[in-house]
Amino acid sequence: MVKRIFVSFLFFAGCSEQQPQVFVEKAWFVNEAAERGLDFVWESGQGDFPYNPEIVSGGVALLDVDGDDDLDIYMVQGGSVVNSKQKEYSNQLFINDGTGNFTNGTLKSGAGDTHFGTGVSTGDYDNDGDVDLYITNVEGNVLLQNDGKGHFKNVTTFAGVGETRWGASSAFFDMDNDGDLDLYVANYIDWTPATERECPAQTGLLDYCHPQSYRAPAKDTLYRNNGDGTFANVSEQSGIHAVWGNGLGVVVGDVNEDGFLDVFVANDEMNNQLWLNQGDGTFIDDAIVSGVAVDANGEPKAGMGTDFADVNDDGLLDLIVVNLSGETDSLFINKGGWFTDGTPKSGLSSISRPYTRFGTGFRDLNNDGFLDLYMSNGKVQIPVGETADDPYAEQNVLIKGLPNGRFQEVPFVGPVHTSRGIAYGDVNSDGSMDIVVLNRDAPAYLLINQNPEGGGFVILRLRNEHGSPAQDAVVRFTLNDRRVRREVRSGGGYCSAQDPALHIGIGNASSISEVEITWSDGSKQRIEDLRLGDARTVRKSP
Amino acid sequence: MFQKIFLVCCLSLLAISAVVIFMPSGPKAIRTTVITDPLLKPVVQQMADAVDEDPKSQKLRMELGMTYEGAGLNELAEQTYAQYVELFPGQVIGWYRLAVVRHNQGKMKEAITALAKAAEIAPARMDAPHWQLAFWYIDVGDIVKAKVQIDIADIKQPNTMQVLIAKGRIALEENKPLVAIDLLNNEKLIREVPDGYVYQLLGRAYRVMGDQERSRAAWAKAGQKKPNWADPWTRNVVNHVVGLNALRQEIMKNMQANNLAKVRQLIDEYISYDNTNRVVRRIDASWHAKQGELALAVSKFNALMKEQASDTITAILLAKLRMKIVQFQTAEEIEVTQKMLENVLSITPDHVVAQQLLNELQR
Repeated sequence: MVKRIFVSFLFFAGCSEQQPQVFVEKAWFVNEAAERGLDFVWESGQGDFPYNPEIVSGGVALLDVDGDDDLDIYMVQGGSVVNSKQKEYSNQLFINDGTGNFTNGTLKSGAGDTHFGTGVSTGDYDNDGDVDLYITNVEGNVLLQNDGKGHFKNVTTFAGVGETRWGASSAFFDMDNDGDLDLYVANYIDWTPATERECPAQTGLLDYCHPQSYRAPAKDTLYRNNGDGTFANVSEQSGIHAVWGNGLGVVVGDVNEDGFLDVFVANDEMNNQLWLNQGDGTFIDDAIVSGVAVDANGEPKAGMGTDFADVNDDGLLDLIVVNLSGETDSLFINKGGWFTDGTPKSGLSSISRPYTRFGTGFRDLNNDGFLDLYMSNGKVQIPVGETADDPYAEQNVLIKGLPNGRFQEVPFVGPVHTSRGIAYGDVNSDGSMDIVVLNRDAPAYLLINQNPEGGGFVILRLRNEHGSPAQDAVVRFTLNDRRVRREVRSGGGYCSAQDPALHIGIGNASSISEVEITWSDGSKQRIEDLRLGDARTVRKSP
Repeated sequence: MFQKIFLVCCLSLLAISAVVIFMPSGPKAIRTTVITDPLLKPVVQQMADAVDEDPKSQKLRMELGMTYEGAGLNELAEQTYAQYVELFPGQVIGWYRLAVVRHNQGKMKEAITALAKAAEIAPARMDAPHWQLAFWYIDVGDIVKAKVQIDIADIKQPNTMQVLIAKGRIALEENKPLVAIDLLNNEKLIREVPDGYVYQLLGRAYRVMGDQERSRAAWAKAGQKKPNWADPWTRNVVNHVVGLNALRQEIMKNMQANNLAKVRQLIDEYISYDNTNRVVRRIDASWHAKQGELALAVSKFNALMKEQASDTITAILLAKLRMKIVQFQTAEEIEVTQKMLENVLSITPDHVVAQQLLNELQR
């Protein structure tokens, strides 16, 4: 089979009239979905009448379902929101053979939920040492409990987490530092097929409605883990029903360094929310005064994918939210618990504005020690005069992180589809970050990283006392003359779940030193330096 | 003999020169085949013909560009404005509009290049290209250039609201909250700038100073919208919005505002141009129902169904309407409604609304 070169470009630098210097930079990624057995198309079910879930849904998870230390792929499926054949469309699980090649293991796994799916999050909610799945659906979310061998059991009813509103992104996190994972679910709009509206677009045809057309922003849901396999719905008493919006993206992190995890919700065309954890089981939305509700121009944007990371090495969590075409990304720079809009200075304004971005997330994609971004794009309405086969399709964007929190677009050409959720992880265990991209009505991409700049790396897998990924643990280390912060996070992005292992690019350095882990309960641990190529698993002492 | 040949050559050259000098010059109007809008298409065609007849006319080419722009056809507008600035490089409006349509497409760098040209040639008292450029420079993080432009705008038209807002934003970008507060805490400015935007900036400035209380107080008065700064030309584009899309948007806007009479007038106007759009025809029928003209509504829905029996959207609307009308509550008529819903379910077996209505009907 012919390999499709996904990324290839010429990069001109240092040109002068006398001696033009031209060098070819190596392709960053090659799409090897077909060769490696990832055979998946997210079915939107689009018919004559547009139903909103068809255009905004679709998530993917990278996780190790069977404890064999490689990453398997879980793809959430759509289907048809109003079709009796929905049951023929199930979520799909692809099992990694250890080399980055996959076989479809859905049938044996019991993970083939057949609701019209939107997103997925991962976490070991029952502290049995394996990773479980929470799937957000248009009608009725589902919790799938893993037996550690990749067999799943639907425990939604027993666990009490069967939210029936249309859920988008969700995130497992320990809200009360009691050692078990609680669950935040962002609900998009109070929607059923019966409440769908007719929204003629500029083309004169019916098209997908703007979220504000429904005037039905949804309240989110917060479940507190009871520690016995069940959850309590604490949405009201926690205070998160004080404000609501059209939530699409969720990311968790301790923005004010008070030892309690906060929750950021990216809302579509409404103010974002920053739920500051008060440490007593309650949250207060401080997005406005913290400076993340709207952008520097004063407008709420169409918030979709989102992520936290320290992009400028000041030790604090910065925040990105990606938005609709015509709106720039928002890169909010943390100033110590509050934020300024650092988008213009970062260089992201010009890069992002032409596209409707959904999936995103900070990862070091070229192992140079700086965080990069990949954005999966696709329109939500057909522009006038659009004649392409897929009128919603848009080019995805690859953005290289530079020192001092600046970013630069890496131009590339490649197949163009309508992309939604993405997940990062090293599927072929070669030390560089690969990406799975879900496409609407088109084959998913499995983008294999070519380590374009040949940077070195170290890998750190942090496990909690139960042996499962230590969600939200923070690692600080010295790389050259920088003090760098990274964290274990499976959430963030758009309706998707990432590999929580820390892949740390170190460029030309030979090691990282002064490595300090802060576990989610606040306890700290120093570990030995990691040298080039090291892959180490550190388990928290009980 | 040689003299004769020379004379003929000279005369021919003269004739060719005359043709070249007096022939219309300028590129052909930008045209497209993608416009199917029955209102927009003839207007654009007429305008493009006029441009081709008089390619040197600034007015005609600009009108064509503005019409494309107003219709949301930014690429066609960009191409037309590009022709315009090629022909008339000294006209600010051409560069300005080129910048705006590039900005609409997300082409920030190209937009800034065009607007910088507009600013360069703007006459002595024309400030709009400068403050607009300053805002765009702020948006891409080039504060140094933003300051240069806002200073020029300030010299041309001192202390306008755009100048003060831009200066306030620059102060915030430069981490000088006191300067920002000094500039923005101005009653006249607060009153003039729409949407409570000044309070947003004040809220940010107080937050930078660590004064959370004042920050909250300012944010409490702030709107959550960016003011739509009106430059002298963007308003003109509105006059060039033609086409059924514009009419449909107008209908939707008035529907949301529940302007019964206006919606009726606009629908009638729309249908006089285009009686094929089933979406508008559905709205038409629904609006009759809303206006109490139930028989007319039913008959229009029936007509739609007759044309396309598989139209489940109309079927549901009609069924809902029939369930509200007393005359349709006889056993015979209920059966008709029931069959209508069963037909929807045969097309879309899990149609939730159809099922709900059917259950209701059976109760």
